[in-house]
Amino acid sequence: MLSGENDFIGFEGYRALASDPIWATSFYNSILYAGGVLAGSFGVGLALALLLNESLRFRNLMRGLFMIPWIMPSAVAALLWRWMFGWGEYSVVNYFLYHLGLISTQELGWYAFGWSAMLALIMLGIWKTFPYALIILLAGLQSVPSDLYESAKVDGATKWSTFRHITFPNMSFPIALALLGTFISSFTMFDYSILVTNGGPSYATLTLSFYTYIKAIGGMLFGYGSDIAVSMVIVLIIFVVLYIKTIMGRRV
Amino acid sequence: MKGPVKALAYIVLILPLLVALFPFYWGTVTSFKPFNQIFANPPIFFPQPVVFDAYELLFSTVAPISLLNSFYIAATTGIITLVITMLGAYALARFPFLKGRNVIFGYLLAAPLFPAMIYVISLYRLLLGVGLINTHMGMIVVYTAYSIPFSLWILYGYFQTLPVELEEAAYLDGCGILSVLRRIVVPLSMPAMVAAFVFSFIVAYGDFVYANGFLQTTSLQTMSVWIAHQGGGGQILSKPVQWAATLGGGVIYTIPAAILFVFLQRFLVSGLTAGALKE
Repeated sequence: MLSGENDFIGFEGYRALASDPIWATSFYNSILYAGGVLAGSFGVGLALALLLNESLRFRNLMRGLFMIPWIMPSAVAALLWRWMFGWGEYSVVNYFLYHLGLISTQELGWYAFGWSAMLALIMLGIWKTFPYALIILLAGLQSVPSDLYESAKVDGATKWSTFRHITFPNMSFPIALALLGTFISSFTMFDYSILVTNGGPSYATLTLSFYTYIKAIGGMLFGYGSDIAVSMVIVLIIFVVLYIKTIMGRRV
Repeated sequence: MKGPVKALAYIVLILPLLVALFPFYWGTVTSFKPFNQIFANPPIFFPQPVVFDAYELLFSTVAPISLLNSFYIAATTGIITLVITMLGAYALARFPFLKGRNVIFGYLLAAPLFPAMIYVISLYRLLLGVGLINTHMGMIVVYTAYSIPFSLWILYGYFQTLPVELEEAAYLDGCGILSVLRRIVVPLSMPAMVAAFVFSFIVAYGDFVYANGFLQTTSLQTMSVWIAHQGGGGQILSKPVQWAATLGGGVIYTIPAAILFVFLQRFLVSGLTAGALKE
C-alpha cells in the first residue's frame, strides 16, 4: 500500500480475518479482559464510593490517594506488575498468597500459563481503572438531593429501601457512564498486552489492539491491520452510541 | 453514622487503600534496596540500609534524556493546547450564533471514544507522509489533537460561568477580542486554564501507545518507551541493580504526574461526566 498502488480488494481482507484463528483468539481475549475489568472495577468503585460518601474524616485525602493508580503512566503500572507477579519464588504476590494459604507453592509462574497471565492482566486493569468508576459514582451519589433522604427518613424507610428507591434511581446516569466508559477503554487495551506479557503465553493475552499493531506497524500490513481494527470498532460502535446517547440525554 | 459503624467503615476503607498503594510502594522500596536484598525471600518490606546505587546507575543511562524528552513534549503540548482551546472555548461560549457548534460538540464527544490503535495506524502513514515521523514535533501535534476535547470542554464550561457584563464593558471601552481575552477572561479563569494545561500535560507525559509507534531513535524516545525497553526476562536475576534502576526510573517518572494531578481534581468530575474523557 505504501507503494502507491491502492487496488480496491473489496471484502477479501475480512474473509481472511474470519479464517484467522489468532484473530479469533485475540477477539475472545479482548472480550474476556473487558468483561473482567468491567465487573471488577465497577464493583470495587461502587463499594468504595458508597463508603466515601459517608462523612468520614480524611475523606478527601483518601479519595486523592485512591486516584494514584489511575494517574500513573501505564508503562510504570506494567513494570510494577511484571515485578510483583513475575519470577515465581521472587514474586511478592506469591509470598502473600502462600502465607494466606491461597496457593500451595511460591513457585507459581503467573505469566507461564494462559489463565493466570490473563488473570494477572485483569487484576492490573481493575487496579488501574477502578478510580474512574469511583470518582464518577461518588459524584453521582453526592448529587442526589438530600431532601429526598430526609423525607425518606421521616417516612421511616430502612437503609436498604432508601438505597433501592432513592439512591439507585437517581444514579442511572453515573452508573451507565461508568460501565460504558470502562468497557470502551478496556476492550481496546493495548499497553499491558504488549508490555506485561507480550501477548503470551501462546497468544493467551493477545488483544485486538495489540494484534492490530503487530500486523500494521510490525508487519507493515496496513490493510490487514485496519481490518482487525474495524472488527474491533464494529463491537465498540454499539457501546459508543449508547455512551453518546447517555451523555446527550443528560445535557438536555 | 454511629461510632462502631464508623470505625468499621474506616477499617473497610483502609484495606483497599493499602492494596491500591502497595504496587507503587513496592516499586519504590525496591529501588532503594542494597542489591543483595532485591530478590530476597522472604521479601524485605523496609530496606535496611537505604542505598542509592540504583539511582546512580539510572542517571548514567539514557533515562534522564528520555525523561527530559517526556517533559519537553508534555509541556509544549500543554501550552499549545491551552492557546488553541482558550480561543475555541471562548468562541463557543460567547458567540452562540456561530454555525457548526453542534458539529464541534459531536466531535468533542466522539473523537476520544475510538481506540488509540486506529489513530496509530492512520497517523503513522500521515506522519510518514509529511516527514514528522520520529520527531518530537510530530508527537506534539498528535498529543495536542488528542487532548483538545477535554481542555475545550472544561474551558467552555468555565467561561459560561463568568459574568458577561465585564467583557461587554470592555468592548464598549474599545477593547478588541484579543485584549478582552488577555485583560479579563484569562485572569478570571486561571484555575480552569491550569487544569486544561495539566490535563494535556499528563496525557502527553504518560502516553505509551503513540510514542512507541512513532519514535524510533533512542535519543528521542520518551520515558514510557525507555521503561518498556528495559529487560525484564530471566536475565534480570543476575542484574538486580539494573532492575532496581528501572523501577527507580518508574518512580521518578510517576511523581510529577501525581503532583500535577492535584490541580486537575476540581475539574475532573465535570470533564468526566461531560464525556470528554473516557477512563
